[in-house]
Amino acid sequence: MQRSALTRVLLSAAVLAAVLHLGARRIGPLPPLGAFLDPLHGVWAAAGGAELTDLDEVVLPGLAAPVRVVFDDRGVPHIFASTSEDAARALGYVVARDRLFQLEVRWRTAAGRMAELAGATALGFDRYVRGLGLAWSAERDFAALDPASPEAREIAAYAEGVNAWIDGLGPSDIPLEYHLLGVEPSPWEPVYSIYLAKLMGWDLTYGVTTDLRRRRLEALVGREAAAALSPVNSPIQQPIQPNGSTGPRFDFVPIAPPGEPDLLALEGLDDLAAALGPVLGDLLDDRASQPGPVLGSNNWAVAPERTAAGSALLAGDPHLLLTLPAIWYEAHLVVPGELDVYGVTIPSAPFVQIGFNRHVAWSFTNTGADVIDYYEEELDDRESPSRYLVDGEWRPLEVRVEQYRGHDDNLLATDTLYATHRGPLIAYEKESLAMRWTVLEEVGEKFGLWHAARAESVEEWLTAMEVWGAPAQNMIVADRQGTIAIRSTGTYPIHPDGSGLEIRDGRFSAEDWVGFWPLERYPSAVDPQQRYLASANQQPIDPRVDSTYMGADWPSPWRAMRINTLLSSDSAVTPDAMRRYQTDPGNARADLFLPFFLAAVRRQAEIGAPDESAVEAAELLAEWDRRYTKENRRAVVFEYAMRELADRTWDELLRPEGSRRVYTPSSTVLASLLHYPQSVWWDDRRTEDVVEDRDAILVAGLAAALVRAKRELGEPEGPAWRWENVRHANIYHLLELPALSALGLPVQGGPGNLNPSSGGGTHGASWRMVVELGDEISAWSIYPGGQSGHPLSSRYTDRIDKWVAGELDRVLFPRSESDLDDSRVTSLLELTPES
Amino acid sequence: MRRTVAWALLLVAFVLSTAFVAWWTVPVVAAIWGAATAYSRKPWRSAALVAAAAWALLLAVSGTRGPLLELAGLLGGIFGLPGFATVLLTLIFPALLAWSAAGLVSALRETLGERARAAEAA
Repeated sequence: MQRSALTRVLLSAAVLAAVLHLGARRIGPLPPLGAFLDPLHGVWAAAGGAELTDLDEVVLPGLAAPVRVVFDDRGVPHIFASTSEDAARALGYVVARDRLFQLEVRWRTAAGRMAELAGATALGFDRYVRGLGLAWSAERDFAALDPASPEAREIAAYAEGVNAWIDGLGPSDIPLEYHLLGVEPSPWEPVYSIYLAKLMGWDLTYGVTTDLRRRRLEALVGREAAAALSPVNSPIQQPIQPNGSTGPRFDFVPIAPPGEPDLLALEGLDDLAAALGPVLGDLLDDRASQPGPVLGSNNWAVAPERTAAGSALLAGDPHLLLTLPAIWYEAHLVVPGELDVYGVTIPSAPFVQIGFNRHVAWSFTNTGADVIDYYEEELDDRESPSRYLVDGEWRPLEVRVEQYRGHDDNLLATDTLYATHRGPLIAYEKESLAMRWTVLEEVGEKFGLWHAARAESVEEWLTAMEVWGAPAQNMIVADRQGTIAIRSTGTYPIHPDGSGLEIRDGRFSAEDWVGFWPLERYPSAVDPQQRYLASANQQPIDPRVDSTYMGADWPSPWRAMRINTLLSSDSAVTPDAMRRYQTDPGNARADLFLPFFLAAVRRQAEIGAPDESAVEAAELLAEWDRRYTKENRRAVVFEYAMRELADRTWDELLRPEGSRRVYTPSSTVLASLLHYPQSVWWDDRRTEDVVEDRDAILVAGLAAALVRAKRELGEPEGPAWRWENVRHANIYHLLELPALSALGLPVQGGPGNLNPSSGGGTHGASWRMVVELGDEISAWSIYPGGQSGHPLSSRYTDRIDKWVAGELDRVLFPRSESDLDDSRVTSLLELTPES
Repeated sequence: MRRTVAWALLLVAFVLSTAFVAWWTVPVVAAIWGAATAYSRKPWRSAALVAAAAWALLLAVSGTRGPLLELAGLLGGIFGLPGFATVLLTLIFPALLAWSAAGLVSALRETLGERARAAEAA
């Protein structure tokens, strides 16, 4: 008996210790299982709280008067408040209710504090973000904010609303993700609303700069060739500010032949890439050697003279990283006599970013201007610097010590970060490189949106948005009077030598920016003669109109060409046509390139010995209507051919070891090269004893594309060739958990379409909106996802099917609560002040 | 009958302690059960069974507030397991805690008692 009991003591003790350990401690990525599995307080509690209840009554501290929040059947809160602050407070409360984990991720991303959520795996990311100084600059901006200003008061009220929800959290209110990570929600600080501007600046401008990549290109092929391959001005001009031409202008020029590689310089750049770390170092390499994500936002507006109903129409279609929950949260804020604005907010701030009020509608696309410069600084000590040299004098470096903590507040690492007057030193041990970036300066969003939401005309709206600094945006706006306008608003640096392409010598203050563009010079147009306006990230202004350096290597204007074609050919545009345009399958890139492929095969056939695969591919493509519809079976071979074409043409841009291109010129540069059939660039140096010309490369590319397509997808008439089986949108959950994501969604559109899709399909139309500015505002919208961040909610992915189909929901825009049809109301939240 | 009542009381103790304190009360309650129950009755078995039943009951309560089965499926998807596995794990966890805690205390008591009796006899 005693031996048996002793054995049991030992066995039980071992099991108890093991299970207690599992219960209380993390094992790998798993949270502590005790709290996680707890049936009432743990992950199972998350089953509750997925759906809105019919009626909720909540005391919300800080309110001046009761606020009623009516949720319609699309999950959109219509917030009826008596003051703007109360509206912001209520918005904070409902956003936290629907998107608490997203709020947490957003501020932690900007702050570089993700490791506290996700553990040491996020340490590299945190170091990178803190090195950029996003939160540091946001905190400085916030400190400069007048706390008595209405914008600051709304930010504070929003924070109070978020925190009121957090303070009242019950077990079933804690989002699933917190249980999975084994962490608690943290309180919301008002400054996090400022983080939003920095985060958007990061999303939209960082990496756009070509300075660093261009440096490697120059080392590989020489300055002259590099300048041609990465041109300051787009070879195809259809600018945002109309240039008087009805169609695109093709400024094709020969490309200078490649020079000899400067191996020493390339080696130095390898050192620099290593010093910059894995993320920044990538900027030195060609991330597009594989098809990368396309941020292809569009917006356009049509004046009443060209619409069927005689009212201005406006479409907004910003493309961003697609996530679940979506970046946007749709809301309607009503403060009688002061505010009546509808649109999308970003969970983080109380302002409608894109939307409309009773008078005007607006949307944005990214300008993509060059707002980053790098300076080589001379430091007093590379390992532990304290000063840097400017004009022969040593200046003190700004020093920050950053501590990185993990899940359980354990210290993971400590960094000493330095900054010069230009900005952070992003590398200093081997090369010392400081970065100046408008997003980090006190030129961020100065709450133009707060005033814009109250504008009653295009003129008022444009005036309100004059203070917008970064990220630079092509802002389109239309009003009920029929005025349409666009302006590329942002802070654009003026360089001492008129170019932002070089890495600058930090030892001289004369290298610093000498100012910023005055507002009058911003690319803009109001009621142009053509009676429509459109932007699709193309070069904003025709260099023949204004050649001042604003950026380089602009995104290809294929989308701009297509939307201009559609708008110029329709003199009675309807809202439904605007909707259709947003997913239009036509493609200006295919229109331009396809004839070259077909003609090359024809010419090869004429001179004998045609390549059989190329002929078959050409026959298949001759049947193609150049449309990227889901059922199309020909777009795939064209896309494969375009890939082959780039690979075979830009062999000179492979790194010396031959594995990876340092740069892939824009498809407009390739289009330019098509007009010079004997250019030396056509020769594929990897094929010995053969000197290829344009046609040889086109034919070889086409043949290889067909071979690849058959190998990967089977015969051309098989289902695998259907575009919907080739291109997919992939919307990942914030934690990239496939079970919480929407993956493999078939899309209409490919590279260059108005609904572009490329790479991993992780980017796309984040919000589609059409607004008709008639006597009453009518609007339609959709975004991929749903209002709720709760994966079990019926509002988590309820909009995705329509988004995939290119459909829009008609939005409800009631003037008062009584205007809302009861049958469309799903939930009521009554918020009352503390008595 | 007495045993049934005792088990019912144990169930209530597991439920209340988990609901109002935390998961770690499961081994505490089980230890008390192990100390109060004769070794020959193998209290670790009843503790494990009743702890799992208590958590099943609490799980059912959570199920009244939302789609528990859907959540189980979702968690299964996240962890690469069948949905029922997460429910099973939730029942095995308290069972193991209770089994080991009750077994440890009961066996300790038995061992010490044996020694005391042996010393007394000597």
